[in-house]
Amino acid sequence: MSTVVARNPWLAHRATVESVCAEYYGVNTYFLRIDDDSAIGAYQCAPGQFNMLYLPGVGEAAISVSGWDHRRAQWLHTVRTAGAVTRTLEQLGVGAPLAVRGPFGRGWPLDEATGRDLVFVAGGIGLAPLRPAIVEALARRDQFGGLTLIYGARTPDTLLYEREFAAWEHQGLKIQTIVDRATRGWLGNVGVVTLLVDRLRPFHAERTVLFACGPEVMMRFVAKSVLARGVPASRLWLAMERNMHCAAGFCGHCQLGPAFICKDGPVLRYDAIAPYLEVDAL
Amino acid sequence: MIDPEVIDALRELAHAAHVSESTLVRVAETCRQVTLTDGAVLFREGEVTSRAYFVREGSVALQINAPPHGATRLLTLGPGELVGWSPFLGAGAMTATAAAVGDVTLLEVDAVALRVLLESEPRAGYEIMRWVASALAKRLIATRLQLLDIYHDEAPRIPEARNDAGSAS
Amino acid sequence: MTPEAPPESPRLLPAEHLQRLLDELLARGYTVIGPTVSQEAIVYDRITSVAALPRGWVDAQEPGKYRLEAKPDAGYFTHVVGPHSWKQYLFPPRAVLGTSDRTADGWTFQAAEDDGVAYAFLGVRACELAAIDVQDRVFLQPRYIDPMYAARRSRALFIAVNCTRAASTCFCVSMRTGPHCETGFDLALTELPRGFVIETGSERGAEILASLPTREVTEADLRDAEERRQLAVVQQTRSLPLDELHGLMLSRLQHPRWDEVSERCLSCTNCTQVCPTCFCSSVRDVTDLDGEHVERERSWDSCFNFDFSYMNGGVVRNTVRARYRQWLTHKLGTWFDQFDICGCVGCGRCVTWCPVGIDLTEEVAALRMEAPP
Repeated sequence: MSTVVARNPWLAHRATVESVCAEYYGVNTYFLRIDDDSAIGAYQCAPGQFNMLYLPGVGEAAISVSGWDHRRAQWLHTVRTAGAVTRTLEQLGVGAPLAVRGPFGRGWPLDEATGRDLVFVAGGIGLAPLRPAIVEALARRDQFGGLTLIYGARTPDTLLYEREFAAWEHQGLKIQTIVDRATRGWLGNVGVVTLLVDRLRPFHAERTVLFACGPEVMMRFVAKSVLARGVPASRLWLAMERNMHCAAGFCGHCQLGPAFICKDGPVLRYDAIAPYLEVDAL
Repeated sequence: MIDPEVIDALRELAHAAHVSESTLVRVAETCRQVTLTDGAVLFREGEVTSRAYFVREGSVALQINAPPHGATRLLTLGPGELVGWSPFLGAGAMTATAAAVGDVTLLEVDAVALRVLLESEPRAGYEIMRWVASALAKRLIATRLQLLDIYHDEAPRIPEARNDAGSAS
Repeated sequence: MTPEAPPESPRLLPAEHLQRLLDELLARGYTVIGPTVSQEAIVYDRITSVAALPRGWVDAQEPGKYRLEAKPDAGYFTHVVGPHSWKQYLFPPRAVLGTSDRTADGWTFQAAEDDGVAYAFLGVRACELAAIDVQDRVFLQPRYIDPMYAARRSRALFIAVNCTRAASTCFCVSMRTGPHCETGFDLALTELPRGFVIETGSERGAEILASLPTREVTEADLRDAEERRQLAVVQQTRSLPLDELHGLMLSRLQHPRWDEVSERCLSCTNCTQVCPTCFCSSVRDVTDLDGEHVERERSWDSCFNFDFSYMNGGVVRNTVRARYRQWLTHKLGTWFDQFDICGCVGCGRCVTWCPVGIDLTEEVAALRMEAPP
């Protein structure tokens, strides 16, 4: 992931949307292929990094990479349709012409968790940036102790990637899900996702590392629960989000306290940003 | 006469609430351990009951009757959590139905006997009420987060009239 | 011309030969930018003649106030900094980053081309040299560089000028960024009535100096220069102590002073525009009418703009209080974490050009006081 030579962050690769998977209403996973074969080899992405996807005439959006398929030379981006870029992307669908800049950012530090119990805590669409870390951890399963996914969503029909859960469980990931609001027929957990963090057993605080991603208020309360269980603040990692234009630390938009979310993050160690998370409108 | 398993269980449940050993023994006199199977009802919405529970193993679902949607599951409770506070407060009918999800082991509290204790021994009463208050505070915070609807922006919506803010998402 | 050994620095350039300096710069292909009078202020613009320089003009500056006064005995550089800074040349207010064109084969994407312009900046003050050092740390980082800044910066020539006067809003002494130019320039001038004591700071500067009709500098020249430079030091009335500034900013995030200043601040963005270190920008697409050609344009933005921190349907810093606090705690606080240096160089522009006269030295002094219980 590290590049020693300073590079121009504005260089983009032409890419095309090869297929789209509708996850649930308003959320799609786009499978992109970079057009230039020679560029594909140079494009290395680590779990937790993101790309700037550009639709000419519309603009750019910062979207985390949810996975990659080296065989097909495709990168997956799960994204919620919200602004002009994602709306246009949804309308154009397969064949949408894009330019991709990236990958940017510091991703999930899986090496910090080797030999330890790793707990992934996801809220809503926050599972999308965590997915590559889960896939990577399962690919080297024996380097970790326990692997657990705690996943909260609004309703049962907004749980992402359920089709992969059986395979992940088979590969050694324990999965617990919970929803804020049950629908008729839901026989699982109901409540806020922090409850599952509170209840997680077995739990060995001294050898647990947590990666969390979701709405900021959720991550703050997950942090409270995690610290209350005796895990040091230096073993909790959060994926933060802010408005981005350049993705390289030049435009100033994405700052949270001293951190540029685009280059010091998006994954940040909790103790580094804890004092800034508590301040209103910072 | 007091089941040592009950005392141990209470000690574990009350650990964070700093309840003294002597109070735990008095509470243990009003408790027994029970095991229920999937679907067994602990209490029904509207019922006046004299029993409250702490979950030891397994999961209990709370639901409310919300026409026209029928029984709606509000919350699932897990190990260490209190099910039913009304008996402690002597406060009339239960506001939700509680049922076991899978096999559940519980500590059942006879709230009538417990209230006699609370009335006659102020120190023990204070410690128990403090314990219940902290359980309710945790429940309230969790409820607030559910109420905040933190995933609101991700809710599937019927398409509305376009209102283009023009910003990156 | 016969090659000679380069003259020892410093030298004295007689006043009547200042035009030769400009001529030598123009002959070497530089676009010379210098101070000129326009719109009742001293601003930077292209110049080819010393006649365009603001000789005989002096600026009077106070919080929220800037006036030019004609003073017949004022020199070319007796004035101090105005609303412009050199950042508009190295980091232009509007710049095209790349273009996209729709062709029969789909969209093609091209990076922006460097225009190759080499600027010679005439009249760069010590605080401005410090500001350029700060922006170097922003735009030339180990992992990413801004290509336009890098290209223009490497070609730029700096003819610095030592201030012989201070405005009431200057505080470079307390920020340890001036008024004496020590590093970062190719040539540095100190103006005397008879001419300029001129010293070199680089090989490029030495080469240009060698081509000018200078004479040997005398003890009197050096003494006069030193005396005049000292005036810029003693005339400063404001100060912003650097000690523990970072800790102060980050421990006062809920201080009531933020409420107080936000009642005066208009969130107008003047301060960020005149500030020589502010670097925030936004990027947007500009399409032509038929939608076949798109330019990706970067333009200056400001953390004071309401939707600067817009995200997912809401604005994070949605009050003036939050935005003013961000600006000041970034400039004087988290800037140290990010760039290992203070973001403020003590030029005083933000104080002068704030329409309501907010003085950040006063704000910091107020923040140093413990909040009332």
